[in-house]
Amino acid sequence: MIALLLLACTAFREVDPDSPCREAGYAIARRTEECTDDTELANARYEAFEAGYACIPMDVLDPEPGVAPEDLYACSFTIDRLPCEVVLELGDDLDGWLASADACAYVVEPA
Amino acid sequence: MTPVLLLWTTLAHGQQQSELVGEGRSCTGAVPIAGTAGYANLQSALRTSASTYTAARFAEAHTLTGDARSFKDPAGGSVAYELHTTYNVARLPAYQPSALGLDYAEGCDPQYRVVERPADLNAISAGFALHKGPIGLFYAASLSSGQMAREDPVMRGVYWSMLFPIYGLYPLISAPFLPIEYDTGGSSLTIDFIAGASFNTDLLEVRAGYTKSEGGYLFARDHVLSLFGSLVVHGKEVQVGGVFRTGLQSLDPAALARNAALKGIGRTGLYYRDLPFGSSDDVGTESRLRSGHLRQASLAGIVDVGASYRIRPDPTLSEAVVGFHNRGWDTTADDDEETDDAYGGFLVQGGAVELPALHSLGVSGGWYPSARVEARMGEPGVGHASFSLLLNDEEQLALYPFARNAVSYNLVIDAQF
Repeated sequence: MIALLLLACTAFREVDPDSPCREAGYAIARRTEECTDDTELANARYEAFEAGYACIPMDVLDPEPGVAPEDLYACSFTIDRLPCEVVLELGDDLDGWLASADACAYVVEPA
Repeated sequence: MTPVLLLWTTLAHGQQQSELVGEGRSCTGAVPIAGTAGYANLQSALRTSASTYTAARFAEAHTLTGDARSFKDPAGGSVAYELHTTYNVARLPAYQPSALGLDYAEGCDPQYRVVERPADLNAISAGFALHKGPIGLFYAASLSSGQMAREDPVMRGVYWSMLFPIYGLYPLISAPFLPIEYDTGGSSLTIDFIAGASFNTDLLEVRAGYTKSEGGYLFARDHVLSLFGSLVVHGKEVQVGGVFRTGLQSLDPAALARNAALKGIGRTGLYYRDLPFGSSDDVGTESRLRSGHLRQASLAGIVDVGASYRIRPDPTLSEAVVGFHNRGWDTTADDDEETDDAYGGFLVQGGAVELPALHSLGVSGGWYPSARVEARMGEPGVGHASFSLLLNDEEQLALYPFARNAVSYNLVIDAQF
């Protein structure tokens, strides 16, 4: 039983500074898959995102004035809620995807 | 049991040493951040857990299996209980909302204002089956739950290992009359039950019943080759269930040919599996994981080997495992009663599993080590208890493809009378 309790010890850890940025890419892939049922297209768009953009690291201890660290996830949150009509219209236009939320400018920039 | 735990602790320690203990104090009121892959994965895991650890699955896997073995007795039955817990099924960012009036700087270290937290799943099930001659009745209930892990590691383990199983007993007993269910997006509690009748002969076993979660239920299996199939009925539609399997369950050439010399070949399992996979979609179709599985159990009485081939998506070999156990590990009441083999013992299995890239879930894909350690004791036709620990188990990853390096444990106790 003690071993079982030890196994449960990974209860929290520091978040990756690139997390809000990568989440934006995951959200693009997720909405692509959800709206097209095409896993390969979803993966291809994430890989294009990774290749075409650079992450701006989040600084939890010294955030930019007026921008709370958790607010940086508004980028992926907004993308995650784009209607399928918009998703299909945006297609491979990743600049268009990232223009859907102001927060995206704080987490990702062209490579 | 102790050697199993020690071995497993070693495995887990080697796998995740840097992750075992978070330094400092995490915020006690942290909530998951929506719109992230981790949050979507948690929601998916909660849905999958509720639809997988159903009363019907439990009845098929445990309660009815024991009853089926003893159907030749004039009257009898079986009872069973199962506890299944998965730690770290998903990892998600969380934050301390100021709207709760909690100042993160007072209650926890500032680096955890935004923190990565794991999520856990738990399912408990219980049931019984009774028969008189070929006709039987059965009932089983399940309670599945999941949530972001508690920040206190000791309480996290105590809650899932001890408190939840105790609190869950009443809902299991009164499931048909209990409407308590909730789903907050980041946590859920689901109750399910199945009740029905069975018909069992030397050649064929048929079961029909009603499940709270899925409606009508039908299962058929022959006792000669172990061919099997199952389906559920949703309302007026008849369709294959969310998880569909068909094939050879466990072919025993020695028993089939009545030739003890063939015992060294062991038992063969060869089946096809088709289940929902990836993100749920908005276009009315469903991504499916389709795969073929070959299992050769008890080669020379002590070796198990297994391999899986993923047909869709991304066709490739997706699993290769080898396991070792003591002789008599898989002895059942179906076997020759005069067998000298001991029943139960230990199984240690290792290998690797391959996950496809699924960036929609935050998964980059690749091969991962897998391990299974299991201990079992009991007597055929009387009852048994088994305990298993799983790391990157193929079945678990098929259900939760984002659950890399998740650890599960499973406890089953059953008895026949």
